[in-house]
Amino acid sequence: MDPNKATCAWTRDRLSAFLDGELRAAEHAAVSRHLEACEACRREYAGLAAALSGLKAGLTEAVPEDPQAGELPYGEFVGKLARRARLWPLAVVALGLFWFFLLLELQVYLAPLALHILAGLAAVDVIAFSLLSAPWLPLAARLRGTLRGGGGRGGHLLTSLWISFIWVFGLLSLAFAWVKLFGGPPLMSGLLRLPRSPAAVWGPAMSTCVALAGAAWLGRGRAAPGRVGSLPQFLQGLSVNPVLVAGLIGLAEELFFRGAVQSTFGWPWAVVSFTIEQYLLYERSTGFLMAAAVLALGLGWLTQTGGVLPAAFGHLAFAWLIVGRWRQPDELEGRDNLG
Amino acid sequence: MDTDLVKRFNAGDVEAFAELYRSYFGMIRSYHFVLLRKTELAENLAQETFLRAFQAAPRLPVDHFKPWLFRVARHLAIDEARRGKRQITVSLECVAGVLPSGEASDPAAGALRGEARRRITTILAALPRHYQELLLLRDLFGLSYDEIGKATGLSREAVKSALHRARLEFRQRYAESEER
Repeated sequence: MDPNKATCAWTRDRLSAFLDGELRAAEHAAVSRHLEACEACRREYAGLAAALSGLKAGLTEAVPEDPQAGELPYGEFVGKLARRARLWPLAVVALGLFWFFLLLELQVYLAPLALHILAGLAAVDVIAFSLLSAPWLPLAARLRGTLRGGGGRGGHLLTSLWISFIWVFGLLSLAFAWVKLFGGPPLMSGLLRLPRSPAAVWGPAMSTCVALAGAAWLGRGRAAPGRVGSLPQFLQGLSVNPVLVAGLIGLAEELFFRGAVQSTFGWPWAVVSFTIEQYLLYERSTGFLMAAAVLALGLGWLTQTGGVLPAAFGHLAFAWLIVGRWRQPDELEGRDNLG
Repeated sequence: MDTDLVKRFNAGDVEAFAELYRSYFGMIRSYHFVLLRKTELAENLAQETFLRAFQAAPRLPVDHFKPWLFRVARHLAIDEARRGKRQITVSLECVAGVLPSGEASDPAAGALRGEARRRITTILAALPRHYQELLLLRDLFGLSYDEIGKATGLSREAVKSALHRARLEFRQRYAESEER
């Protein structure tokens, strides 16, 4: 059909799309021209337009737009999301990391065989988590799809958070395990043969127990969010206790940066690496970079004077301060620190 | 706007998802309500739709998020209807019970509106199911023909002609009701 010779029937078939602005430019122009010339089609057009406006008004009234609709059930939605998010990988990796760094601290006292078993278990844990929770690995996606009968389960946020830890700490843990089992370059071996006083060895272990108990106590009844926006608010909505999560992360960081890096390479390395890690993982702003550097200096000083134990407590106090503030979501818009 | 939000959410920004949720939750809930006639079910299915969206990240479709969302919603409603052995009946009759309370402030205008609305919803309810859904997607939710096509699995041409037939049918029945 040539649009230039539009008939009444051709035009009328296109009136609806014409009203919706969904015709191609040439067709639109042809319909316009025909309507200018044809009285009967103009009447048809006016009738359809009137019916359409009545229809739209009727629909708008019949299905009311509730301005609160998006807000009201959001808390409930987040609750569902949390139940769906399958938090076991989080618990598994937290335990694994904790285990491995504790292992580093305890090696003075444990028999080599026990150490090897623990190192093996930690390695299995890290590999399993990597495979099950890393969405960016095609293999992981396939595995996950097979295991769970359909891909896409599990919060990608949790994954992206923990994936950093897998890379930073998990792979280092694997390297340590390798060195422990088969030997390695002197620098790496040095990490595993740190001379430790009993206080430095038991300090982190005891502080961990106290921290977990404190976290459980502090975090009572904090799981219900008002609304969710930033990452802290999101985590607050999860059924897993955010205080516990923050505590575990902080502890792992202390055991690594102060317990291993600082005592081996010296405090400047610990400060620099800790600051960079905080910046990359939590908040990429100059202000936060400065705050992380100051925190690193403070925690380094605590370690120099009293060992890892006071530093771990200092870090936990800082983490809980941040978590405590999550209760006022409006003050924390866009702030994602767990450190 | 949506494109930007979806991109941000795909990159891990939860605030962007909250924005999308606020923009579309009411719409999806209405859609489910009209499809299944049950308030609570509509609420649950709308939430399920957004759970699917959340889990689809970071592969949420950037360029056609809205039709994608409607397609997911539609499939969920169909699944639900199969499970409950319930016929999906797109009917606007049932929505008359959940009207805004604004009518009370102006009883005369409210009554006029109410009369016209009742007539329109009755006519809509009597239309074939397929027509009702198309009218809803286009004239209430404002989806484009392409978007409706993506949401329902129809071609653009099929959407165009079916929508036109639906409107003609509506118009004819509306005119008949005025004569009575």
